Amino acid sequence: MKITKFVLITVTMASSLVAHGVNIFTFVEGDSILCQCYYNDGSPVRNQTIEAFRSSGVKLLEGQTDDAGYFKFAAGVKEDLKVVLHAGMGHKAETVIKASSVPEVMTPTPGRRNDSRKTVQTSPETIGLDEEQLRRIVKEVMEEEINSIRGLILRQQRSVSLTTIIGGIGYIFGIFGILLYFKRRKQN
Amino acid sequence: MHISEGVVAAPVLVAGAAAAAAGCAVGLRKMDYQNTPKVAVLSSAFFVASLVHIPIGPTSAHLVLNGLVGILLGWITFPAVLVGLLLQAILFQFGGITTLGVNTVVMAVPAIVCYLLYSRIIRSRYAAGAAIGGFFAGATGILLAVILVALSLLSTGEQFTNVARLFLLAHVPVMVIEGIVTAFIILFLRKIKPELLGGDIR
Repeated sequence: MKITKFVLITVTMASSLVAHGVNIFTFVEGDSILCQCYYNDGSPVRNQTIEAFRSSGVKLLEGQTDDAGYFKFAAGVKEDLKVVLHAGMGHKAETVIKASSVPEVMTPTPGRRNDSRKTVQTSPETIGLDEEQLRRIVKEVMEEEINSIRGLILRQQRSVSLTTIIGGIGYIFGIFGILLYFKRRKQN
Repeated sequence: MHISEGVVAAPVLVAGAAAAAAGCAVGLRKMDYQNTPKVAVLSSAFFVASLVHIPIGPTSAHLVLNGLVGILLGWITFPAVLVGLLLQAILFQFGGITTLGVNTVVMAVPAIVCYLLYSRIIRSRYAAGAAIGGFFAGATGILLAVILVALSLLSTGEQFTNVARLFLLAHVPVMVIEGIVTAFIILFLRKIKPELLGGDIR
């Protein structure tokens, strides 16, 4: 048991229980779709290719994630979309956006995050906001807030917990225990 | 260092699965009442090692410990690694079920090469010899795995030299760290449980 302990301690001590792998999450922000890409340890996936496909499988657009791991685009079509992140070296993640949550906009345009902020700014002469504008501003602010919370929840769901790790080790011992059991029966 | 689902072409997946199955068959035959607990422990260590994360520049890498598993288990590395990878795929979403075969080959073949190259040095009478053997086993395990990943990515049309160079550069620190960790574990086992390094694996 000493050895088991030693191996496990060496391994777990150095670890902050973070892992390798890429994730992609998509949010609707205003009339665009915002993709957040990061490795399992939380660091952003920088400058990697991201592709969006229409439901027919035809490529809609392609772009690169920014320094914070974000990629923003307006779909231009209202149908199921598939977004694929190629993080290189065999790493790939994809996600499907349901047609119902794809915002309706004119043309497919790749862009960076925060681009749309400017569009909400009202010109100084319109002091009284009409209901539509107000609704839009509130919606955008709300979406931003909700997205950050959603991101947090999703990330927590994906992150590896100690319970999972210990569970996994348990499975391994179990599997080899069963193997041993059958080996032994054969020998007898 | 896990190949995700849907990255490599089907023939590579099939070839990988076939090779992994063959390797496991050989490995399982060599498993007996005596060495099974050791296999389970190393399989667990391999399973957990991928959570030890080393940030390198724009990307990130993790410990693999396939060199260590290789020198201690020889051919039994195949089933040990397969089980570890299966659970990583299910529990952590590393790699994937369809790529299980390819990933097993990527990890286990270098491990067996390490076993063939270094298992004698590791049993050396001198501690320094064992440590050096351990270091090289750790580093070689990663190096060969990187080459195998780059080779299997050939099927995606990524340029071999480009991918390999990038991937290798990213993994040089991992090779060093892995070498040091492996050397320390070998030295430790040599003191506490020398029979683990011994000839009970054939």
